[in-house]
Amino acid sequence: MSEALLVATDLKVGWSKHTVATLAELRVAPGEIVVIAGPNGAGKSTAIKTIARHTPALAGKVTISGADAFTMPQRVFAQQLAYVPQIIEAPKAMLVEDLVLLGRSPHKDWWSWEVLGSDSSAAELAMTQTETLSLRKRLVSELSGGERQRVMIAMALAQQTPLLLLDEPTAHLDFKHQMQLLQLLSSLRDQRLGVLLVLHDLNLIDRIADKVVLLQNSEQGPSDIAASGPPSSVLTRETLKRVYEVAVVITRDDATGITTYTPLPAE
Amino acid sequence: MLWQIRLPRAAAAAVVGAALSLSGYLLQSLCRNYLADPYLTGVSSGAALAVAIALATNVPFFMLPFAALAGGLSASLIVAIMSRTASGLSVTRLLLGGVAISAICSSIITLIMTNLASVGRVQGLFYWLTGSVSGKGWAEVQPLSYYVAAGFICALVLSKPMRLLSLGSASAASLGLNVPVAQWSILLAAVVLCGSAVSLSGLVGFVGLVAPYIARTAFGTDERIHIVAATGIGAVLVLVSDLAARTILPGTELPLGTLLALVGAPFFLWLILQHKDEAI
Repeated sequence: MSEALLVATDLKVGWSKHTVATLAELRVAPGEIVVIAGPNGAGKSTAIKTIARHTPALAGKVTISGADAFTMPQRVFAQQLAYVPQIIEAPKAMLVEDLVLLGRSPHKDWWSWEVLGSDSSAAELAMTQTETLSLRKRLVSELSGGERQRVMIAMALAQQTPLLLLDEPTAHLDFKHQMQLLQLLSSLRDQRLGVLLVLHDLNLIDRIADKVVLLQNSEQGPSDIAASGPPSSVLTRETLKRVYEVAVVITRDDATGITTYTPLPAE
Repeated sequence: MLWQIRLPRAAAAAVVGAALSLSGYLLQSLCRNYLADPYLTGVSSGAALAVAIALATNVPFFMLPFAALAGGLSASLIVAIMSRTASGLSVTRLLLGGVAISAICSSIITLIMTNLASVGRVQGLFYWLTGSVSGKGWAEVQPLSYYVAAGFICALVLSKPMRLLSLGSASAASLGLNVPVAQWSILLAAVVLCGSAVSLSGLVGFVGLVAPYIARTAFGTDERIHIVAATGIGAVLVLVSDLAARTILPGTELPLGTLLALVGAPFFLWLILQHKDEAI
């Protein structure tokens, strides 16, 4: 446990003094895929945004390899952690390959346009991994939602950071590319990256997550962590009923070993 | 004749055009909006107000450029300070603040104009507001050309941060950019460029909008090439307009700023119609 890459403790996240969620503890170790899940409004995106420094924390601490993540210089932080937000702002006129190459920026001087051999190969590898190599000469603004999402993931991969944060990376992806993303994530796990995701789809979570941090809404105040651990121990019928307020049928297909979660209509 | 009058005037036109175009390019990159004009940040109206006050209080004419520069810088500084947030400058607040400051300044200018004692001074202010480079000598062109050269180099140095900022300030920060420092540097370069141009020529509009637009749409996707192109296009545009202002009607001279808007605006509309499918 001491080798955790990312540790968040007593993290309060929210907007201008309004606490949305409190995360007592969240850890990501190298080679571990951790998923933040939970119902709408529980603060999943706010939590991942806060860890990515896109929004300031209201209280609490985040460390990356022991160093304080909120006070380290922006560039050092960007060498440690790459983040793909849920809502992607597309630049107006930029080629896909130029965008992916921007992922190399944290490793250069702020003014430098230099592209080293190692930069092009990192970008090339990232585009191969996300199947965006064929899009390289296209303008980002012309891409479909799913293509754009894959290109943004390619840019984050080109950053070659030990930590990768993805907010709803499957939102715009079709089945084929969802499966490719799962494959990509597990190959990143083999490369000992720490990955933190926000995902809605319990079926996908079950197949990819090493650990689930399940948030629950609270009537009194900010939401908090309902349960945390491997999917099999967190995504139980009782917990899901309590957190999502619907009954969920959990079936396991013995031939494929895949567990399926189906919500039932409210009575 | 050529060396004493024509050449310095042509140089003034070219340098003013280059400065305004560069300033526009920088501000558009900062605001991530191609409709941003150097005049939107309050530079021009601040400069105009300072000139109006100077004229009303009998400040000697040779002091007008300094008044203009000081007024332009202070107005845009007020706007910029109001747009500060924890994560850098807020573009929306920058534009809204600029519009509000401009409105305040122009209403005060109108008050001053209606109450100015001497008709000659009202005319002087009106003349200044329409923009002109006539009668400019080397002594006035030289300092501005230094500003433009410095601004050009600053723009090239800031080209990579500008590309990062085109992803939005949050994403730029995620890629390691110190966003507040980059934004302030871009703004400062733009404001000094525009302020010094305005101090020389008065309000010459439209170049800062049209020239960067042409550079972006006709010269690919590389910011460094855009910067070179925008500088050249701005210089040529004002140079040609001034030539036209001087020669179109023999014996009289049209106000440069007015002519630029008269010819530039329809041309800009035509350009926009050519790019119907493109989201601006």
